[in-house]
Amino acid sequence: MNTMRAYYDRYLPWALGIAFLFGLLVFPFYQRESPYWVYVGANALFYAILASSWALLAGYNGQFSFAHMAFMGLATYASGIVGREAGIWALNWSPALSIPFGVLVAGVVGLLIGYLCLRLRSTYLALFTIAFAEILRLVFKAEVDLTGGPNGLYLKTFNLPFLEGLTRYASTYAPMYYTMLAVFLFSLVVMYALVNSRYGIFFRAVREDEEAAAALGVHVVRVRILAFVVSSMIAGLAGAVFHHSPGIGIVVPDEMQIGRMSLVIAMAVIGGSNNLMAAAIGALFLHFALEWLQEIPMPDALMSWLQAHQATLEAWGFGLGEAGLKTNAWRMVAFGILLMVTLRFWRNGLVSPILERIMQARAKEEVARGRAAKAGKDLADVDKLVVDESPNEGGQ
Amino acid sequence: MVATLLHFVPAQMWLITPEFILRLLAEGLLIGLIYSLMALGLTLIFSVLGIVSFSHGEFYMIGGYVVYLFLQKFQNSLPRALTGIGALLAAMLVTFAIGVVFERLFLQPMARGEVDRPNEYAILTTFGLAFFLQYLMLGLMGPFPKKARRFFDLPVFDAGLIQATKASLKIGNITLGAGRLIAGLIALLALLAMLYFMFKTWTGRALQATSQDRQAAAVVGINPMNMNTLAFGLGAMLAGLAGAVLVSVYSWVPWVGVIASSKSFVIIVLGGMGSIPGSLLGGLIIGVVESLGTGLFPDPVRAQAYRDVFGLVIFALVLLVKPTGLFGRKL
Amino acid sequence: MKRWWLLLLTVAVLAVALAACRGGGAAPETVVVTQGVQVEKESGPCAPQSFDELGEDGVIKIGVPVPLSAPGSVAGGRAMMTAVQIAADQVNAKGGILGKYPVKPIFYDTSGLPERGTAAMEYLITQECVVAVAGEYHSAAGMAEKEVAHKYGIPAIFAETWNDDITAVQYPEVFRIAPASSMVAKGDAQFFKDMGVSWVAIVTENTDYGIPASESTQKRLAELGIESEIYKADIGTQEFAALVSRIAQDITQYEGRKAVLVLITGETSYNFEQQAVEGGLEPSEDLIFVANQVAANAKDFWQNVPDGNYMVFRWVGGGSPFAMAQREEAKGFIEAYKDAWNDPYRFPERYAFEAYDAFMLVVKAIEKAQSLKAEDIIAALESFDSPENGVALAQGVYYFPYGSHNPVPDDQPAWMWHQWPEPKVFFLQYWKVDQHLEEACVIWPADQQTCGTDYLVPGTEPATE
Repeated sequence: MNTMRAYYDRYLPWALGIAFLFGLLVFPFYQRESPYWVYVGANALFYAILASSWALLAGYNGQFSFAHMAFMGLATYASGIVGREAGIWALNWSPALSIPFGVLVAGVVGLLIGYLCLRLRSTYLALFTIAFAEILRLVFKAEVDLTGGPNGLYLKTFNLPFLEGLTRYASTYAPMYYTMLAVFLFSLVVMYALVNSRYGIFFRAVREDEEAAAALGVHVVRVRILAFVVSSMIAGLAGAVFHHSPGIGIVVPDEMQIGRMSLVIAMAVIGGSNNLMAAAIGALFLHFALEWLQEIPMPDALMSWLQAHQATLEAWGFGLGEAGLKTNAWRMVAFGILLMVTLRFWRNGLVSPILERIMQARAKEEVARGRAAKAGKDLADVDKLVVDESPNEGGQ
Repeated sequence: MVATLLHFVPAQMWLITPEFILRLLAEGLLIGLIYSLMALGLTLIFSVLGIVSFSHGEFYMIGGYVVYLFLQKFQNSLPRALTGIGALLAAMLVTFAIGVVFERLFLQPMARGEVDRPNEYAILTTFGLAFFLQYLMLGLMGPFPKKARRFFDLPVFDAGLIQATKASLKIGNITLGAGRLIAGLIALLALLAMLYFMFKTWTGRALQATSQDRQAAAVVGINPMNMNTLAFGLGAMLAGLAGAVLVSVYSWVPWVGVIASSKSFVIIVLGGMGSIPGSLLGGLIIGVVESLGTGLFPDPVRAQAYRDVFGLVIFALVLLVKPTGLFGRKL
Repeated sequence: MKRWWLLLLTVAVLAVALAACRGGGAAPETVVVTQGVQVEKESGPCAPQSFDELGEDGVIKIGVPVPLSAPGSVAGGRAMMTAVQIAADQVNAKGGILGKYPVKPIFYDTSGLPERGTAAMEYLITQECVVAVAGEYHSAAGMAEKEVAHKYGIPAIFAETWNDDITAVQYPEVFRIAPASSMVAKGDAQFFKDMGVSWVAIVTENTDYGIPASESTQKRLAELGIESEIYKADIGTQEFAALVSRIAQDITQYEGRKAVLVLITGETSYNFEQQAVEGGLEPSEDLIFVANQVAANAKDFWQNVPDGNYMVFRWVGGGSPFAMAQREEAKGFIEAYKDAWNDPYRFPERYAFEAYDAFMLVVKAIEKAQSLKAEDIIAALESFDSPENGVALAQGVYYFPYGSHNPVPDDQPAWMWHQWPEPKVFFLQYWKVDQHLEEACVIWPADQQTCGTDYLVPGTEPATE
């Protein structure tokens, strides 16, 4: 029995991980007749990247930013603007070149904002990032000549010949879906590499108690800025790639509004913002749920009863579809209640405890094995780091 | 940008006249009074509970809807002045009640120290409430804009320098809309009443004492938990009142609160978080800055589009340069 | 043991999630069989190709993208939805298309956003298997929708999208019965010229509709020697006081009669109009105030702009509201529309007329084609190529002079492709608070005046009443 147990402990996470990945890979084939759901899938992946990179910043590092969507938009706009006219700086700006440029812009601005915000703690940071995001959005809206204004900026789409072939077997949106999946996996790998490096420990140390972390020799400035830059760049990458995909090709400033941001935050929190994977799964699941809840299929018997009360339903903001109940705003109300309840009773989110349960046994084993070695290494690193002189002046 | 600035100097000099600037100032001050009222609630919450409520704009939104519904229901059965007062009271009551219930359910555990990382929790719960309330009202009221009628019409008269029509009051060249004039007056009365409450009554002083030193307040027999609830309820009520007076000026939709929220943030940071005089002055300053900025922005095409940016830029600068604001306490 | 449960649970959740996604739309036909030969059909449009392929109930589906949530114009979307439902009910009351196939409009909310427009068209074409699409209010969404229609080769009739480029790209699938922006700009400019206006403040929304419309109006006005200034505002703006002050100040620089033209659509325009009056820009002998076309919805207008008396507003269509009320083809619709809103004074707005007609036009095209194939429907629509061959519906006789058989000549603008050329511009004016649309006066063009007068100077009443 004991060996059985250990066997599961070790391989269950792997099995589930592979099953999950396999599910994501075959999804466009499974849904080959419904491009709509593949399109929704690509959108869900987009939100999953945003939610997990936000979790890296907020959950791991405690920097509560509302500017995540702004960085997403900034990279997309930067890429779109250089890509629009050929020959800026004598370069031929195809998406392959302009997307990295956009991501770079997001990174540089992220560096600046991260640096400016060093003195700002939690609430102040949240307020500052709201202001930054809104200013950026309003400027993009107002500067019509440069950005296309509220109508949006049309973008060159990329074509990936090896994925185009898939449209025959999978779905029209397969290229877009698989590109987003690649970005999703790539960003998870990058973030996990970061979190599992010694910076991961520093991140959390800074989150829990900055002074204590500084006293222990953690370079607080570097850690905070690093988190800000990495998560901004990943948001930028997701945004730029998503909007340059065949099937989108346009970005509008309203995608950067606080309402969209709140959706990302809500997804990450319900999934679990202290765990990258949980935030991502939460976002995937919730995005599908929200799309599906637009019209809840109803059995015929119930349907005829509902039809008899159509006027009442409509007065209350519901609607009737062909074979289901249209929930309109009420699905978001349910989402809001879920968010509040999650916050109050499951601070770590709904997905995160499940994942932790699965990983628990493995983690136990790993911790035991790695503790001794790691502790020694970290102490050695600490000596090399300069102790940061009080970054906490002013602030709150 | 430079080109438009140069263009501005010879071509649009007619904008730089005393009457026009006076008119913009008057308009800015009037709307600033309402901003002050909104921000006063937020600053009160911050000073006692130590959190920024991200759902402040949603209380503002609900206040407006309550007035609208009240007038819909009673405008034909009650005399006009009475319905106006009744609607305002109803709006205050409803927002106060929601504030109190929310505080008891969600913020008390935090005040009792039962929650990890309370700062983050405070942002998230108030923000979650905002999300919930916005969509709840969207479900209940639908997305169509609603507008309440003015609480009363201006008396029509013509006294040479001062003229009034139903819709506006003209003092020389300065024209003020009736809706916002009435809103501004009510806001002024409410501000005075609130100041009286805060500085002259026992409960008001207890609130202030709690905000200054919780332990000391507890020692002299003030229950800080009740003060928390009261402060949050009052803060929500003030936002609701601001919404209630503005619902006859603007068309009302479930997301009006988003703008109101961000304005309140700007003001309390500018005035200094937790400072009552700061929020009053901050409101007036933002009102005037927005009015002058839009009125005098060189490029007429962009003037309106940049309206909300002026305040936000001041906000970002204050946060970066002097996070304690004008009257902020050292924290 | 516990972990087994966990594994099972996860798998079950995944399975349910995947199944749920699948169950969302009506189950589409996976393979289309024609004459016993299996035609490979890639995922894409699943519209039935002949009447035999219809389900047992024989229902033909037509897609209707409309804005039903913000930032779109919800009032506009609701009006269009109501109109289309009336059209469908009328067709079905006669047994359906060709007397035996019931028609069913499938509505989809686009919020007036490009990406929602794309999603709408994808859903309608690939999930609901619609044979054609009719509708849309916002140009921004319409611009994206036409791309999807073109991609799948499904005919689309745009009801209320004014942006010239909708038809200027000359897609074979795309038709439009709404006026193009340029047509309206021409009428506006001529109106101001005839009224003797020297300067116009154009207050526009910052969108795919507002920006080109304001620019072409400005250009037209300049050609007629009238100066103008453009002021832009975002859709959803609440506070206009400072902008109003500014316009009031700029206006003092010009002599003679001035005008304000509101090109902000939807509910935002009410905010501006009311605040303009409160800020001293009230209609007067020297100031013609042209409110946005949504002022035609009298009940909403008076609720939101209680001080908007003597405002002028534009009506674009086959005829003025009074001419339309006389049309035999329109009477049934107007009555049904008032009943649907339970408001005897709610005359259909022009976009309601357009939505009704766009939907009816698809029905007529299918009846003429006697086929559900996209090519056949398009060919039938193109065969309506002159007023004599046209289809008489509520607004007027529909025809599309230029198309694949008769390319747009060089002396005509490119947007004349598949464009109904008839919409004309009318100006109406309210002259009493709480008036209904049918009590307003047509003041321009001169030969259509209903009160025997042009601009009614505020404070006066029409003589012939």
